[in-house]
Amino acid sequence: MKTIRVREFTEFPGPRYRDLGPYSGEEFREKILVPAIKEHGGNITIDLDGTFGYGSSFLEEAFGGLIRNKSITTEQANELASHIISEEDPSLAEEVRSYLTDASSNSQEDWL
Amino acid sequence: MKKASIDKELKNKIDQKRHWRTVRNGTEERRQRLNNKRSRRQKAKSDGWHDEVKAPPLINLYDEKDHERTVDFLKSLRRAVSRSKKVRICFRDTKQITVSAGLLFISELDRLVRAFPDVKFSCIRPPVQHSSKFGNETYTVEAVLNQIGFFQLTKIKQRQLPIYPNVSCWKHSQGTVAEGEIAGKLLNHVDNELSPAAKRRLYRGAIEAISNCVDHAYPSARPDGLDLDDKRWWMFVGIMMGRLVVAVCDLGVGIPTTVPQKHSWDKIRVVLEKLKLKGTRDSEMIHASTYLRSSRTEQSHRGKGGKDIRDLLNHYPGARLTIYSNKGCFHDKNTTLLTGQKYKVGALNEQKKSILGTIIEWSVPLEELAA
Repeated sequence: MKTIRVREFTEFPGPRYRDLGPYSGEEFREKILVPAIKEHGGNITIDLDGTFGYGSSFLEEAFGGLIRNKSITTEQANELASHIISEEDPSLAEEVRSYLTDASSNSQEDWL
Repeated sequence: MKKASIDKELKNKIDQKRHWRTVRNGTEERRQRLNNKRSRRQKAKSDGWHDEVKAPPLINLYDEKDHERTVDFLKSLRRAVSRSKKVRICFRDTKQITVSAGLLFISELDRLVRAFPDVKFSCIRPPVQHSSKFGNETYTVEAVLNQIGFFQLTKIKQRQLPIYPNVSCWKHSQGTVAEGEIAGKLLNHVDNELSPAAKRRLYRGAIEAISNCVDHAYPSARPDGLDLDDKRWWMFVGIMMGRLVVAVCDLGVGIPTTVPQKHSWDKIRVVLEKLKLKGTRDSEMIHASTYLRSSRTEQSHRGKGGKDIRDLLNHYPGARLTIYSNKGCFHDKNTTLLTGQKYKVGALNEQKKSILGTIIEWSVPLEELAA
């Protein structure tokens, strides 16, 4: 299983979109997450530790954006959700799971 | 010869001569005097004439009177810098500079210096204060100006001053994009004893506030008549009276203007009704903005910044949040009842004059952050 450590991307996660500033959630998703998912599917672990902190916009765009942009299926999202880890702040992993779940349910509503 | 013995005709002649000499000399003297005055004035205008702006005794936004004086001072500063070549800022009466007002002042000055680089600044330094206990001389206000970069910005010579620990920890920075590294380094600089969890929470609020500045604060020109294109944000971190203070400021159109642009009125009305507010005042719109999220049709995944900005209050019982935007001010804090139950208190203040921007300020007791 591949492990992605956010701290290897940046120590200071930034805003939601690229045009707002460096190391954004959008950039992390497009540069790191999407290529890794293309290669390994949902079978990857995301390690959130080692950074200075996260704004919720960064996390929402990085993970919720995967579903909105259809880079990941609902099954892959469920698998990914169970592989988010943060020992420093376990509530972060919960938060990311909620973004994945919310984005999944919204995309299903749009489909219906 | 006795006076009485002078011939009357001769006396008249002498008097007349004297009279005309006085008139002649007087006119000449007067002309000379006026000429000198005119040349002195012209010389002063070309050499050392300054447009003087007087800073108020308290550069402060917390109190209603000080708020008005501070806003007037900043207005005079804008007017002077945009119209004159030389500006003198007089701090003769200034006894205190508080965090939000200091940040607003330095942001305003920074913006003006960038827009009018040829203006030369001078200043009358703040008075030396004497401590009430031992009468020691203290230069606190000048040290604050020093620390917030006033002298560096205006290129006025900086004096060597004693080090005041409660001032030397103040740090500020600015940027045009939401760069987390700037915020992180400021938080790191101020106090190494902060717990990692505290840093994460402070960082979360700060990066969201900065992102909001970049994303929403500057949809159109600031209504100050200068029509400048400067879309920066400024951030301050410091310790004051045992509390860590973090403030983020922008000189944009303000929350009361951007809220109706970002959200539908139906949605705003629902929040206002829930909060039992009319929405006619700036402070009410600020309060409403902290609860507004974009509706489903307007991208439901967005609008989480308000939650992050309020988040510190849920974690630290002594935390305070203050948001100034245009004429409005919204204070929020946690209060613990004797029963141990926590409840939030929100207070709204409406001022007479607009700061023409937004400041978000958090303050948390240091002992709570170190835990």
